[in-house]
Amino acid sequence: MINIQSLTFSYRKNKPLFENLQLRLEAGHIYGLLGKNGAGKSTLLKQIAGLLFPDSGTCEVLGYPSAKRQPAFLREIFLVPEEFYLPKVSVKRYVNTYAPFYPNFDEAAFYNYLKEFEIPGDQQLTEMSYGQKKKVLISFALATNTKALIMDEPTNGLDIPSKSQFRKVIAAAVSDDKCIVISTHQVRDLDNLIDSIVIIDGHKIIFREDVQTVTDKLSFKTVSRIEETTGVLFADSNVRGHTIITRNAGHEQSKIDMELLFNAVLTNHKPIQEIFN
Amino acid sequence: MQPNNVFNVRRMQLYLQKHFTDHYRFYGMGMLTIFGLMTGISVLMITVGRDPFRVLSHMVPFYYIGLFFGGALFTSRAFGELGSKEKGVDFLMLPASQFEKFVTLFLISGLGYFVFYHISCYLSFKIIESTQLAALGVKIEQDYLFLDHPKEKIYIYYGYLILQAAFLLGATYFHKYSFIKTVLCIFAFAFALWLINCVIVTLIFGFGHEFWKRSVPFLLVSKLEGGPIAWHTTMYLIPKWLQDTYLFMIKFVIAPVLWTIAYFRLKDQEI
Repeated sequence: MINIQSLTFSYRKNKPLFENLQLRLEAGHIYGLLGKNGAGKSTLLKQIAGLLFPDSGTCEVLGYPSAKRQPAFLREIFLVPEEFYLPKVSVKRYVNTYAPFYPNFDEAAFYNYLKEFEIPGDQQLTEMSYGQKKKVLISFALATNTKALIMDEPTNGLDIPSKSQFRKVIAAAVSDDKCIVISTHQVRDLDNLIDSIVIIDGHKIIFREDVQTVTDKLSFKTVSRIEETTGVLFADSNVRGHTIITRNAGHEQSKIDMELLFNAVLTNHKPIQEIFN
Repeated sequence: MQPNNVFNVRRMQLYLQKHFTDHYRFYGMGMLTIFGLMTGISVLMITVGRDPFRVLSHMVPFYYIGLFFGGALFTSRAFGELGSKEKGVDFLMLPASQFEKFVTLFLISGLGYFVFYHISCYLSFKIIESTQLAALGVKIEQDYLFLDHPKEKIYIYYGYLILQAAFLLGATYFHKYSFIKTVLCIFAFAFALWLINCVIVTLIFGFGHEFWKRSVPFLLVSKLEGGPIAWHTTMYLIPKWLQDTYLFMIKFVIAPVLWTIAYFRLKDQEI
């Protein structure tokens, strides 16, 4: 679905953001793209969307080179940017104007998503708050039924109930022919939503595994005394004790702690990577 | 089914519709402003200043200034969306081809403005004429025909096309303050031409007779002769075949070349 080969890109000379980056994302998955501020999450999404061009290498979506921005490509990809634009019209007018560009647009689904987000379908976009507008855009993005859906910090600006509504509608919208990529630095917002994790750091992809593999190979626990636990790969202390990551030797099933994993991969990358190799 | 990735009439129609949905306020206000300024100022001059227009040729310069200045100003905003990240993403990600987007903006900024401006001018003139007749009892004498001497006057409209193309290209380079920046670029380009011409003329004719001072770049040179009491200049024009080449370029080459560059610039836009 999304195929990035040997991608090199820099905003400034001699300061590459990506060097020889390789990434392949398949349909039927919800990918969480994680990284520190400035790691290049948004830039990578822009490369996928064809808004930025690689200095070298290729970026293809469904076999189309993103940089060419051909209509056949654009009607199969939807980007929900962090900062977005909506015209000063009603929701209905917006749908009438934009939807015909997307051959698989499902109007009934759009109004269902709006209902889920508790947005009145007859409201003017100008009368809405930032969060409400974002929900309209997310609803529209899902209703387009594009094969690739990429979202940059989609939960920014959403209140707490909306974040759980967001997870619900995304989970309901995924299908075998869709690839959803969500970039965020608020990893907890993606709990129970994403099924694959991509971590970007230091100009390249340093971790790319599906959640099932992660929980098969790593164990996430909270312990009161860290000294009594052996083989700790990463630990983080909090008021309840210590949340730790260990190798999952006993094939126990534990719930993935995305934030802990993210910090572990960034600070203790090598031993974790060895477990997955 | 694989869509046509370059041009599709239905998609372009949809894009036009989308473009007007986004910009109808701006276009509406722009149209009203032009019409209001043209009519309002003239009617005020007649009714308050009691200063009638006696002949049409006195009004014609305003028509040409409005056509060129308004057209350039309007065209320079053609790709204004690219000046904002949010609007730029919306513009580039909409599933229409770059060609359809370019043609839409080209038609609106070039042809659209041209047609509207003339309708507006005509209506404005009719209002001014009847106001003047009612208020002062003075008719405007029709001493200027827009379509007489078409062989010469057509160059004014070629000039409009070239200017529109230059500002359209400018709009693809400069997304903010495009008008001012394009004007500066045109001046810089003209100055560079003049400078190169000065160097060439001086190399060929030397500093004597002030050839370099009295030339129109790549068109004519003048020789200062006589003195010390009486001076006169002799003009040397480029040969006929070169004049014809220039005219051919003005008519058929410059504007299309600028439009083509603007199109490829649009294709290369990144956000």
